[in-house]
Amino acid sequence: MIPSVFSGLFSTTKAPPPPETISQSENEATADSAPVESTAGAKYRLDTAEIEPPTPHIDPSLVESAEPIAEISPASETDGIPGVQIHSSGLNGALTRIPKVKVIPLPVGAPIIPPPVRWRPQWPSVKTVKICFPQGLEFLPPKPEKPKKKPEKVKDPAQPLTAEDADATAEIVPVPEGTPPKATRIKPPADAISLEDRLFFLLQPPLETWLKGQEMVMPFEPFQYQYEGIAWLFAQKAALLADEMGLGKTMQTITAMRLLLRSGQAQRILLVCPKPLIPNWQREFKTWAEELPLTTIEGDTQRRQMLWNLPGSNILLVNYELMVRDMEAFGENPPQFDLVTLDEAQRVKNRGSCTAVNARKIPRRRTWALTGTPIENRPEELASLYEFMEIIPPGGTPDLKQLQSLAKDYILRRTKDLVMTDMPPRLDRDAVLDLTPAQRLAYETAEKEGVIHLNEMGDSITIQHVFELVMRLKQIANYDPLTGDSAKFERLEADMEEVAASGGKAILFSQWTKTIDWLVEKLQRFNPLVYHGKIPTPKREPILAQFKQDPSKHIILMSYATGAVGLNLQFAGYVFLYDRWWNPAIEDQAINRAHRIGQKSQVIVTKFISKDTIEERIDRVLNEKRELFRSILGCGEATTESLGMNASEIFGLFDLKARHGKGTRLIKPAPAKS
Amino acid sequence: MSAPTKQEPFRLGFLTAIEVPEKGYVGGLLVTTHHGRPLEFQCTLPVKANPTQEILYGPTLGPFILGELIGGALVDKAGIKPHLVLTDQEQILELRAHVNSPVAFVQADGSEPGKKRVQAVAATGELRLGRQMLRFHAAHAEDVEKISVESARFPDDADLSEPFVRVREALQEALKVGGLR
Repeated sequence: MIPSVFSGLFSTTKAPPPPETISQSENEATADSAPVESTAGAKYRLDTAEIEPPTPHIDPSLVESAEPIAEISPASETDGIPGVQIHSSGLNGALTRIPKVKVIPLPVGAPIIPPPVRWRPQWPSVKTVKICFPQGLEFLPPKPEKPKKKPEKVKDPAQPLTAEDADATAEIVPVPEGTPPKATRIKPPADAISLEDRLFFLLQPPLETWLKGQEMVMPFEPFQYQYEGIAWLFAQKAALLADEMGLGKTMQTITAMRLLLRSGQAQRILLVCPKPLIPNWQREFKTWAEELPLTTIEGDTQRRQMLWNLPGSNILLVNYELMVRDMEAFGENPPQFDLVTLDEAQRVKNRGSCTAVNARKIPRRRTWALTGTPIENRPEELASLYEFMEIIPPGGTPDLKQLQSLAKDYILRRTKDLVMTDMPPRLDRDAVLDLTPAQRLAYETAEKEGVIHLNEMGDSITIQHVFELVMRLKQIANYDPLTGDSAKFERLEADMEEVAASGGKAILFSQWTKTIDWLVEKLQRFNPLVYHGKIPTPKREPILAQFKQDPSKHIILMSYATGAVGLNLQFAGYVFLYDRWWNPAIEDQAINRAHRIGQKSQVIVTKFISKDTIEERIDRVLNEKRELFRSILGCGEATTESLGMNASEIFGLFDLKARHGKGTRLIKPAPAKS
Repeated sequence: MSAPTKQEPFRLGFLTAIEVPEKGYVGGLLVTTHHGRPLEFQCTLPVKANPTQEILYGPTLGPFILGELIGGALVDKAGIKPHLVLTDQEQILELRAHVNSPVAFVQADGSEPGKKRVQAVAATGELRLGRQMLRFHAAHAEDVEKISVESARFPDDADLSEPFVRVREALQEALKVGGLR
């Protein structure tokens, strides 16, 4: 063994510890601690960042000569150590300290062994937080894109989208050159509390990227407000999409469902809609998400039971009636869903109704409701929708302010005025017509007799009695059943001459199938089509297709009950309201079959009103209701009054008086029982 | 990192960091498909150098903290490994010395209307992918060729800078919610 030649040289430092100790302390030295902590008691120090770590190498010549190395005197503290660059950081004093040198005895001639551990500063390990995204469902890939024959043409979002477009193109609309790409980001919903939930939404790509990417081809470029609607729906666990009719609630819903399925957020979805709209939804799914498997619940009980539980059915479509029947049959074990969506959700506006009760029973993680008329009659209807959406407790009765407050988080409503500034206008015109003499005679006779009869009934009259009289008078205003005279028809015929001459198409709405059947006979030269509740469901779609495709079919006659919701008839430029419905929201729904996305020209709406009849009185009440409706949806100062015609208003259509002593008194409906 | 099969999505890791006053740097790595759909997100707690370390590392502190410490930890701990790590901070390119995946710096949007995709330029270590020009680590020129094989998966209008916006928003959200204490 060679004696340690360095022992005793460093008089100003501690004696070197045993090799194990040195090794350990060296390993523990970190950039954090070594330079600072070891300065205590030390006179010399090296900037460890600028010198090589000490090596165990010993110069053999030193061993041979065994001459002592000159001891570093304290004077060198001020002179500095030769060869050591003084750092300009202010730690110069410490840097002048002599380095610690590790001494390892080696046999003479032993090979030089590199240092076993490379010195490097150690930092505390970096802690991380991780979230994983669920695996999305894989579906059949969409059909390959057709080869591009023509130069890509940018579709102007302002241009209407028509059903024809769906067949004409399957291409993605390219971004115009030089145009910055739009980016609709998904925002975390207000009720997303956990960081993981919030980041999930924040980290989703902009919808434009997602939908234009190869993963999800869209047949058309959605409008910007539709992107926003899709993003909002995607993020909401409870949502009421209340866009005005014609703005594309169906497309937004289908696309949001598609995103949920593709991102692994949902695997089983139930969509409930009115029976007449089943074919409409089937068609829309084919257009907007052809890769999604859609199962329609239909058939006998046994078949339906099988369909409800069919594995691999990602989206189930069922009408309200079957939903009610089957949920009752399921009893305490209804099937579970990740998302339940009610179309025309005003069907659950009455909390106690069978439909509402059974809809609330369906176990689900998310709830969406679609309706263009969230308040059809009273604000309490909105409370029923909120209860279905599980944002208020069962039986909860929020006041108007609470309803409005919840609406901010859970309702998205856009109107055409707001988002479709470039949409062709809707021109409403009231056709106030004098009855023909025969009609007038029939009308006045009926009214006189009817009012006398009601007055004689006194307090025993009910709303039904008044209602019967109203209906009878309205029917006479449509046409005189005895003579067949009709001022409305004369006007309609004249208007239809123009419509047919210009190659246009018109929709006529009436509340009576009897009136519709009467009109069909009279309108034969315009090749009318009929669409009402007496037409079997399988025959309805072909009728609509014929109306759309056959240029000789200039008019379709519809009942409000069957034709007012869910149909896309934007190729028709004329709407006739032959008689008036009781609720302005229903009338608007009817008009919006034509005045919706895809409409290329202005829509002329003609409302027939017979002068000096009950129709004028009804029209006045409906206009007042329409204003009230707007004020509530616009969060204005609203009351809880009915938006439809209530009993008082129907009584008020006539001057009904009962004998009271020597005079008379006004007859009013009995107050509602609480 | 082995190359993905044609059926397998090409996974991109979008790595960036933000500086939080008095807390240091917080880094985030978002692993997505080549369509941009997120697969995994991971972020660090704040990493801060003390004054001594700042002196010790001098100008190499940034690349060390961002590239080696933060980037290294995020890539190392990623459950779903990216085939290509992209960053919008040049200092993070240093990460390439510590991981097996190619790392590229996404330069500013260099899209020019009508301009065709430029082939890989191994000599300059650059490659156009979508709208952006990528610059690879100078010591790993082979990365350019490796990634150029996959470039056909990306449409010409792919925006590789957009996911960084998401990552930064997520980091800000995490700091706001207090998830990174």
